[in-house]
Amino acid sequence: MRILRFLAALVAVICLQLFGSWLYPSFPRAFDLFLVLTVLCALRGNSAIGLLAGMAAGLSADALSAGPYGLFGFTNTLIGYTTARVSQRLVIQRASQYFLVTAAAIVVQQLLLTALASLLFDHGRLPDLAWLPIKAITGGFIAFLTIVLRATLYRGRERRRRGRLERLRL
Amino acid sequence: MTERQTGWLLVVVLVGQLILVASQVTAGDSSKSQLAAFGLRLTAPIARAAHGGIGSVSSMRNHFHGRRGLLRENERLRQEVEGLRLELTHFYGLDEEAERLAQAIGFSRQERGDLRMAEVLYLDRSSWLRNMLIYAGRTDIEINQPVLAADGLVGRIVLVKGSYAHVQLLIDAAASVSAMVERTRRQALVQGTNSGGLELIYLPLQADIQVGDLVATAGIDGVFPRGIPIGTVTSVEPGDELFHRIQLEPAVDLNRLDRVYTLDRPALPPPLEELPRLANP
Repeated sequence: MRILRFLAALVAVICLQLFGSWLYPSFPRAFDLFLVLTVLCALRGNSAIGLLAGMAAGLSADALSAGPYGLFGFTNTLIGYTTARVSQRLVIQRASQYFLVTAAAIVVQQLLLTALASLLFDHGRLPDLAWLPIKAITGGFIAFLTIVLRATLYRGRERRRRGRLERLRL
Repeated sequence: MTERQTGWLLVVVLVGQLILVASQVTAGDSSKSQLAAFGLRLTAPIARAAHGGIGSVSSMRNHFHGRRGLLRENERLRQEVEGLRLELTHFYGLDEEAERLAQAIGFSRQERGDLRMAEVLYLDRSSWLRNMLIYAGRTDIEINQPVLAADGLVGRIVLVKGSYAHVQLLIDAAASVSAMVERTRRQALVQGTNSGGLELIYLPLQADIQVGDLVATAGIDGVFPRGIPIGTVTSVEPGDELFHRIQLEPAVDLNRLDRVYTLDRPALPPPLEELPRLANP
């Protein structure tokens, strides 16, 4: 069930990435929805899930990019695993904490990509670090929104469940 | 799975992906791995479905835009067609005349080849790894086929899986094409830049070049045939001690690209294609 939910989220991310770039040409520079998905999965605290989610999301991002296949796969796998390990040691529950962790993950991913690209490419192809703050903020904000939305949905569902129980008691 | 096992899995996955990336970089862009093709096969249908959805939204929006807009558009297109027809009358007979003259001097003209339409499913023209994903339907597509738009050259196909293909855009920093300045027929090389523009390189300082000059493909790289517009010169500066530093504005406006054409023809004229076989029988 969890795998199916992850796959549905991955398909939604691909669709959003396509729709975003159709709507706004600089979308791929300003948003990395694949990494946000990786971080949100990894923050559940299971390092194997973080690793596999990062790999799947990264390889999907690779399929939409012109770089060598596996570049985003490599970085997102590492980020997924590291984020899961971090969340095992720290208590990350608030939406603002999700914001910070996601923004930090995006910064680390871009630095990793820059290091890899400068090692591998001889065409001067490097990530646009001028967009890094924007990418970090947008990623963090999406994670923040997702957590707030999830908490709201959870509270609503809980209220309805309690209401049903109350009626049953009466 | 224990943390120790996960750690080992991480090492295996990371090393595997690093080897995969390194093998593609050392082998060049034209030989992407089977895994990349598999990834394309998995994601491209999703992209196509999403593109269909975007198309529906777009057509709905156009529908609600109203009849007035359509009438205005229709009028504009009608005027454009009339203008093009008028322009076409100047070219009547020129083609036959050129053919006759070519026969007279024994010059073999380049074959034009067939253009086949392909849908643009995804276009990332802004990030550092610029990319275009196209769907060619039932048309056969091959690696290194030129991809054009109505205004000029877009790029070349670098990965094919079924009807889907990745296109390396001309504005990619790793892309280059042999080019010539139309006015002077001087040959040089056009290269994409990291900022998403085009640069004309290896044009000597003594060569005549002006802002506004048109640059087209030279047809000597074995990939792109001669005469496809690439762009217009926007700035000329003295570069280092040998060459100009020239910026171009691409002929194709990538912001308005929703369909492209793949050129189905050999890039080299038939006599040149025979050469390697003659050299190595």
